[in-house]
Amino acid sequence: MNDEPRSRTLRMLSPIFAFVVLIICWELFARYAGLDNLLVSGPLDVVEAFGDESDLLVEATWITAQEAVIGLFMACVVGISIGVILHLSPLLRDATLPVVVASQAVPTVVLAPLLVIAFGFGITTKIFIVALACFFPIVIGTFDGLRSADPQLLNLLRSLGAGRMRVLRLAELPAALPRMLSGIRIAATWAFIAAVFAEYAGSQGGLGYLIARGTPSFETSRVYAAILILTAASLTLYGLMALLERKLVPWERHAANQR
Amino acid sequence: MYTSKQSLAAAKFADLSLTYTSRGTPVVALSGFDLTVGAGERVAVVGPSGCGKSSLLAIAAGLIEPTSGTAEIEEAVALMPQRDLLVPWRSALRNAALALEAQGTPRAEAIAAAEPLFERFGLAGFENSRTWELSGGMRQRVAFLRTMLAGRPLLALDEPFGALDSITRGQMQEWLLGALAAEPRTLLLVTHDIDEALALCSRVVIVTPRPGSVAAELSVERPEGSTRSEWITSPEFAAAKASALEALS
Repeated sequence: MNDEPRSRTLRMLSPIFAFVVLIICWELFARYAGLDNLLVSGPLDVVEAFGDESDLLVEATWITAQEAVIGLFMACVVGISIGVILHLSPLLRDATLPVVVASQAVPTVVLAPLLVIAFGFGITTKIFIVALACFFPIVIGTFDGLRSADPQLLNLLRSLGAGRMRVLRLAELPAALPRMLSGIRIAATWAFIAAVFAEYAGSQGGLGYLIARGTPSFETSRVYAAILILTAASLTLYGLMALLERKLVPWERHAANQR
Repeated sequence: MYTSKQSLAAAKFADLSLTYTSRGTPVVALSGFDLTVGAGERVAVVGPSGCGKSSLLAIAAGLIEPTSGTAEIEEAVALMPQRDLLVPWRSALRNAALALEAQGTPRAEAIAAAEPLFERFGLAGFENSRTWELSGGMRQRVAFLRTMLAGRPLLALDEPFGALDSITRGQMQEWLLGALAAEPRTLLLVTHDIDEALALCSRVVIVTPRPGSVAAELSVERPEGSTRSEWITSPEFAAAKASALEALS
């Protein structure tokens, strides 16, 4: 019991320590490996790029963040709706589930350029691609979650005269919340990557655009900075979703503690 | 068919049979089961595990149809299953209110109706407790208040205290008797605990092992005004228990 706070601090600090070591190694490599500065940028160069090109990076981040967040939101709306429909109608389930699964078998990477050709360079196409890449775990999380409701509880509500929709609202949807949110959290890890893919396929701005343009023109520091922002943004979005999960389904933690 | 209510029966099961299929093999849960529960009566159905007791309550609550025979349910039934079925996303008070919300009562009204019951039945201060903060006995109390709040005259209780330790179970029986004295209801209690049946009910029906049918009936002559502990330690209780055990063997 006594050493628990210490071990917790240690657990918090050790990844930070690992990151610092990694960054030092990177700086040493960039400086002393004998490679051209044009080809490899060290952390200090990247920090410099952050300062010099902040306007450019902020603008690009804003564009990509909009695509990722709105795309994830659309994925939630569509994913939860499909999950509920699959749950409510066995007929639609049989018809829809294979299509939903098939949509995941088509790689987004190759689909993205085709969608850009079809729908243009605008933000709508990017949002569509992000939503397409993200909605699947949300569908599965919602669908499995709805089915995880205690059948005895459903019987109890039915014996009191609750109809299909009231059972859904009072028991199935709240019971589905933990798995639904897990699905959204998994989807959140994809949102920024999907947005960058979409920008790769054709765009006029955003972090993916900066990376796609910067790599062939040897803007190495800028590209590294964009990648770092992308990673941080992805982690932030994931963290926000994890926080949301903690706030919305406090009972999950307590159930885990009791086991 | 017209059925007269001259006997004021709350529920009448006649020649009830239930066969269901479990993993491809037919299981006869009940066969030729007869029971009449009078309005306001407290009847316990006692039998070994798997004698179709829970099926009887499911039929009473209208969740399943008997294979043959008739179940005339004159009073609306509120079912209290074996497990408390409290939902973790609701507070204790809102869990109780769920019984009303399931019937379409608006949320605020349901909460307003549940609140005074918490006061009356010793749950004051626990309204906003989360379900995982409640002890087993407290959970059962909330589950019972939820059953009461359904506002139905016939309570069908399925092993309500089966998961509790014997000390807590005794306290819960006492609490239940107090609650029923304040809010009288018809009681159909299913249990495998003879002591519980004799402590809570005025009539005990002994059911045979599967397929379940009525083996014997005892009427319980509990002295007026005796406390639960006086009653369960009395010679009359011991005599009643002896005849129940004999009927079961």
